[in-house]
Amino acid sequence: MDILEADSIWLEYNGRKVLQSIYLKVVTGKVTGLLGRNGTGKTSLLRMIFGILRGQNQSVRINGNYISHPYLEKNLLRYLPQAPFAPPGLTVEKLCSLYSVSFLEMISHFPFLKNNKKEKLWNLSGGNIRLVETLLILLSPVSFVLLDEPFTHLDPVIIEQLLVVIHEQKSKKGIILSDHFYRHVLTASDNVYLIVPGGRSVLLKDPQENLKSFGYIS
Amino acid sequence: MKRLGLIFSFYFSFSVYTGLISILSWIVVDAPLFAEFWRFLQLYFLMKIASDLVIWYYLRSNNPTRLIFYFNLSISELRLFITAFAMDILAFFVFMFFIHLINFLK
Repeated sequence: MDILEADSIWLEYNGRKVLQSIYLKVVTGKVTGLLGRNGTGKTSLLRMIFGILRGQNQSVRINGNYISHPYLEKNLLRYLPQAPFAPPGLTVEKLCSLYSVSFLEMISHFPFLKNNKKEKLWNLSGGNIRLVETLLILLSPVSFVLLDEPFTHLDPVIIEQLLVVIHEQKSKKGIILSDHFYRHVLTASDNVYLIVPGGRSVLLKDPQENLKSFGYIS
Repeated sequence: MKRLGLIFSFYFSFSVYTGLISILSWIVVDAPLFAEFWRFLQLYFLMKIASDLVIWYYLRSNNPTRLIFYFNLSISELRLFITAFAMDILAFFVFMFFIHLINFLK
């Protein structure tokens, strides 16, 4: 079992505190949900954990060992950003090969992608691009994956199937799941953190009740 | 090798522009060859550093998310750009080698 801890995360922009005193723990075999209202710094936190955003202070540890740039460690973690990230001129097959993801595994969950094997990404619909990119990250042979709004642009039926894949994949890796579809996040997650205004993280004991009391839902 | 191929595909995405900048700058100074070409190189490298920094800034500020594709493969931004720019310079030198060869054989 591997443990990823993000600790003492402190981020300010022009004197405005975005994140402060954040602690978050992710364990392989579990899904950790990350919720928060717009602008509370969820994406910034994921980018800091990934290692591409430096704050005023941060400590990301794997099994207790500090790592300054986690993304440079081979087979440690991968990150799905909110916006498209894969070069649109590459085929789905090529992308799978580069990310060491099995295309067969991809289509075992989503058979309709079978016809897109040789297609370049720019020929796919927005929803399918999002799905392929999400699967590229989710099925990657790494210990941790960070998913930032994976359900955006996806049909409800696709989201349901994606939740199945997330559930399957958590046996192999630790997953951080952040999305505004909070019901799906609650369904998929074993632990849920809420980033509250002011930039603190709170581990929710009773998610439904806590989300109400913190004003995330009414 | 896989990484080099990946960085090459990154370089390929803007190679037309950087290639054109190189060739046009060579033409602008009257297309020097042989001994004169070596004198041109100093100017070429200065111009190349400046234009590559502009391209770096442009790619970084216009679509930073695209870089995450390479970060996910454990390639740092510095390695990505320096290797891509080295490929760019190498491509220009290969092009100039053939230009020199053609002129030499004339």
